[in-house]
Amino acid sequence: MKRAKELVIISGKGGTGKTTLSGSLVRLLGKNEKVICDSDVDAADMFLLFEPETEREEDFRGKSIAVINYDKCVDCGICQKVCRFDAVALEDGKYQINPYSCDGCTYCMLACPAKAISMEQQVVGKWFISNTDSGSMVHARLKPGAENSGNLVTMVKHQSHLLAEENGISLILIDGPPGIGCPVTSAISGANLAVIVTEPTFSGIHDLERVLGVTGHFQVSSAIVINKYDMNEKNSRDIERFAKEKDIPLLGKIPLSTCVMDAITRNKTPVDSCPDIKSIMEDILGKIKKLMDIQ
Amino acid sequence: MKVAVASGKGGTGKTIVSTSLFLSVNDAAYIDMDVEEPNGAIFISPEIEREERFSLPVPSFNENICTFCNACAEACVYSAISVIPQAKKVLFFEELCHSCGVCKYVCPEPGAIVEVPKEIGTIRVGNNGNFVEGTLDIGIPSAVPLISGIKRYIPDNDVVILDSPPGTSCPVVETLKDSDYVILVTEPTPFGINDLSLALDIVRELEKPHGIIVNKHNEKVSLAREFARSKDVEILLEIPFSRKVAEGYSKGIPLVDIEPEYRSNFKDLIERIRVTIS
Amino acid sequence: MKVFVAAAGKDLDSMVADRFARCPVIMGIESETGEILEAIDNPYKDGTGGVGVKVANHIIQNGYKAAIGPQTGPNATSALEEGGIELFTFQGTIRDALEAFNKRK
Ligand code: SF4
Ligand code: SF4
Ligand code: SF4
Ligand code: SF4
Repeated sequence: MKRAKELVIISGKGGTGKTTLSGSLVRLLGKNEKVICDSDVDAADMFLLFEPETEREEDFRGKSIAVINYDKCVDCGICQKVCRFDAVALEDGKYQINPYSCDGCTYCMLACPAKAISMEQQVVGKWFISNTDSGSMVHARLKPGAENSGNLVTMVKHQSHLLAEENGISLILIDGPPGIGCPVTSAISGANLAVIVTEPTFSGIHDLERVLGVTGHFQVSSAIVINKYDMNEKNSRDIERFAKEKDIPLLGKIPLSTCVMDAITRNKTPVDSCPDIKSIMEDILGKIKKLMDIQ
Repeated sequence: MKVAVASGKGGTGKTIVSTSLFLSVNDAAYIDMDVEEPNGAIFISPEIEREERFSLPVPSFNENICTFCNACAEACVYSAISVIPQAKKVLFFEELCHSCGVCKYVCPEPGAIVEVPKEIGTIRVGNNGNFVEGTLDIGIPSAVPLISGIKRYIPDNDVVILDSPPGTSCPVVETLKDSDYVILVTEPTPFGINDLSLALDIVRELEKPHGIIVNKHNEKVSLAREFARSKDVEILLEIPFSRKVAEGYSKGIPLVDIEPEYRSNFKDLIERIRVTIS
Repeated sequence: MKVFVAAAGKDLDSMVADRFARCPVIMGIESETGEILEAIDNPYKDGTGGVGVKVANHIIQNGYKAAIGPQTGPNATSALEEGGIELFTFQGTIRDALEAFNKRK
């Protein structure tokens, strides 16, 4: 069987209605038409919309970090000198490694004359496979302050593919993380289409350009949805013009709607309760399917 | 006093709050640590006086000295190096490198590896040093080094506002680590509260005094108040939802210019924070 | 010729894995005789980042001349190409892959 196609929903920023769109698409697609993948592992919130029942839960192991064995340590301070991540500090007369700052590079371990340092792998999060009434969902939770969210994203995507393969599903719908950092690059790499949700704010085009820089870099085709377009129609037109110039398909424009705000407040997707929005979303989904060449 | 303004996610009004604090308080400095999406400048319109490229050291390999022993590639935990004896070549994958210095340390041949600077972003300073922002270049894997680099530019004003990146990952920890107080900005929606609770976990883990500002407050929805009560956190301020403010925001006009009466609220708030942490 | 296979299992009837760097088993085969030189659980499989380069380094450092598997990532590809490792993409069992490999021009 062919590898399932990946549709990823991203935005240069949080709070631009990314989850509103992905949540709506989840509802509109059939239960067995897709695997839902929440790759916003730093602040997963798709699960709020779909009340998942957890079926499987696994630890996610991240980087190893340095640990000092004080029986061997001779207080020479070399570890502090070599560490480039400011992770070693002299506190209470002892050299101590700050687990938040340690990058796991092993320099201190290699340089320690007393061989007092070892590397220990940390459990930095958990990932889950859950059932929802809209299909199976893979999601994860990273411990606060833990790094390697990019790897956890890779992990949830990988698990989504396994699940898709098992159940003969040919689409993975990924709710991406905000920003343009490492978790985003993990979320979009290998995707067949990235839908970028943007808002007509002062920085809308600027943010959009930054995200497009990332999708371009990874050669992922992109399309745009403008959320709350009527909040500032001039900026929206600028975005539209920009999209046309760059030859990026505009899939649809979603108005600023109290119905949407209400729906979100009640943990519902707008397609459940806002008929106008539903037809806009259906139209967007139709265009996505065409772009991705899926039925 | 360093006050960090953070939120579980972007788009909750973090920038509105941090720029308003800066614009309301005397002898304040504003530091934009949200290096992936710095946009405080849009509201503050600072006069930029200095702009510096920020770089990190990365290895450069001299294939005439290298003996292709593979020690560097074996030691690099980030797999940024491939040693190819067959071709007498060393491949370096810069985007995987964390600038840790281990390869140079383990290399037995002096001069085979030298470190050269790699630019990762820009730091801008303006308004007599009271405005600092960093912008991370696209494709740079981690924001943490740039954020820790910005810290060197923080002036010693009475009040320093740190506009934190959104989320709860490393860059946020890097920002909050050195703050004296953390303001968490949230919206009273289930998403907002979910993100807030994640952000609260991290602030508590770092043992920082903290309080909440609710943006787009809606009298009919008590989510944020309930949450604050259940977690025993103080709500510092509630900013009611207003179309005027939202439209102003979309044009880059700061809250305290649209609704000047907020200035005194923000001033009070800083004084209350001062009392809390002393 | 010493050939590397990104494998799904540990014998010749196993499939060629569908992912290169994160394949379940790392296998080495003598292509003329079909003798299995190594078949180990891929230690890099769950690694964090740069996994493609790690596997490529394994192939280069252990003197393999060719690699059978699915598409490799960009970093691994450039490392393998520089190392003069012949890349042979194949889907199916390892036995069939070897046969096809031996018949290639
Ligand atoms: S380098 Fe080793 S011996 Fe020296 S202070 Fe660090 S842990 Fe102790
Ligand atoms: S492993 Fe690296 S980052 Fe961690 S403490 Fe040691 S030198 Fe610093
Ligand atoms: S500096 Fe560190 S991460 Fe970069 S190549 Fe050398 S060992 Fe690898
Ligand atoms: S450790 Fe030094 S000599 Fe050995 S391969 Fe690396 S650069 Fe070359």
